[in-house]
Amino acid sequence: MRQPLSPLEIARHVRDAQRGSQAAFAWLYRAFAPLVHAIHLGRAPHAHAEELAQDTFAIAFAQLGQLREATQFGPWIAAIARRHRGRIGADEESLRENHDRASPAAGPDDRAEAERVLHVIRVLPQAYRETLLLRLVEGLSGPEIAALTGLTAASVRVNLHRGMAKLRAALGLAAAPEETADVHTP
Amino acid sequence: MSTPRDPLWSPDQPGDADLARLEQLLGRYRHVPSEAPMPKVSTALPRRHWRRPLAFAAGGVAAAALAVAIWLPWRLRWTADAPWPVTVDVPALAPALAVGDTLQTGAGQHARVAIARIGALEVSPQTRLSLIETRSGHHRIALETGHVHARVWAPPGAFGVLDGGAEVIDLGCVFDLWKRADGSGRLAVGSGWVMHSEGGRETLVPAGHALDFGPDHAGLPLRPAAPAAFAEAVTALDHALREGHRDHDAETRSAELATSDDAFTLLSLLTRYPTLADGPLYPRLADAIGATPPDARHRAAWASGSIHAINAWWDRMPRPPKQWWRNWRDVVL
Repeated sequence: MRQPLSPLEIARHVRDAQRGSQAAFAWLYRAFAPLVHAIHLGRAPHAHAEELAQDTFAIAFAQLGQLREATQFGPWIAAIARRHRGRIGADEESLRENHDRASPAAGPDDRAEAERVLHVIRVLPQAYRETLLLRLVEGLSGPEIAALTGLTAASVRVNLHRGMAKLRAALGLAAAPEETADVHTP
Repeated sequence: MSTPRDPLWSPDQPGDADLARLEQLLGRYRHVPSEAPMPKVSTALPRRHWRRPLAFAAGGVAAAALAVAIWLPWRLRWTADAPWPVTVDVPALAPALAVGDTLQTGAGQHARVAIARIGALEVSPQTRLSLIETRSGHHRIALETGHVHARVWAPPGAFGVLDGGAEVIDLGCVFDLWKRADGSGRLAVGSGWVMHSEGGRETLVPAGHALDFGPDHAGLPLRPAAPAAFAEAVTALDHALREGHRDHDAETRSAELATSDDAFTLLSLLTRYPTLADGPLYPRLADAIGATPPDARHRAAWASGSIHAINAWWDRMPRPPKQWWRNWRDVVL
């Protein structure tokens, strides 16, 4: 498993970026792009999410001097991403073309099924939606999600398990025992 | 906190077939760093020798914010029943409009009435209106006949026009209201949003749309530039449904003639008559707002009148801003 980011590492890069280091900006972008992208993907079509993620970083980097708690970069940029919804009504057809180019091996059935799953995730509550997208779309582990979002490991685990249980139920899939073992779904 | 086996927590551990399938399906949406270059960073971050000008600028902003903080509450405050100032182009009218007073403009006579301190009414010739109520946060006139052009900058609901059993409520905007002696008329919104409320039925009218109304009913918001045939079809369908029957020909024509700019009209139509969702208007609206592919469960829920299903598509439309003060252009333009 990859090592999650440490708060000290995040804080150091934030302070370097606040002093104008391009390398630090690039590090922050690489590290937090999955988080920002997942938040936008939870509410916007795929190609639009990429564009919104770019916008979010542009906004965040322009305001970076206002961030006082350098270790809180993740929750801070996540809040900016949630506020930044961009223009509604992207061209779905053009977005699908982009989407297909990104996955040439995928057939039309896979695509339809993927869209259906994504649609189900999008209607989940925010905490479950974002955590599940970080896990299933961005491929991050629980500790990595906790480091990016600033949530405790326990909160991330609960969000993952409850979200996954809801997703399985909505898709008509069988529940996994380890997902319901330590959590009581309300 | 870790458990012996948890593939959801640790992707390195093998999960069940469903989890693997979901990962494979959704992995296609993953953020690809190489395709998304880092946004350009303007590195002009604050340095020591910038601090003094920044401090002056911050002081200026703080002073302006303080001035606004004082001015804004003053602007919204109004002594109950205090008369509204009136400006006329011929000195035949009273210089103020008190509660209970009626303002009547003659042929060729214009008047400008201040709506307390929150806006202004331009009153056209041959118009008759009365001031019903005025106090902080609540100002109401009655328009008996004629035309007014209203420009308001205030929280939603602060200004309204009574029209028999109906009410036109400003949600922070610019609008025109015409009223004929027989009770019919038209509401046209130039900026922001207006709510037309009649007999418990509320119709939102956004900028760029107009709504025709009669003495006991309100039509649907339509773009003045919408194709005439589309407007006729929508009006005929609305009329038929009010009479208790469904005009399938008008319904089909409405769907066929609608353009993507008419999405709000279709949404209003389907909201007023949810059962129409089982016909051609639902897929046409889905196409217009980019809600494809159509979802059969959502459609069935809509047709059965589910508020949740209807709201899901309303959420796709631009809505009145919660921060009414963002419509500051309504004051100056």
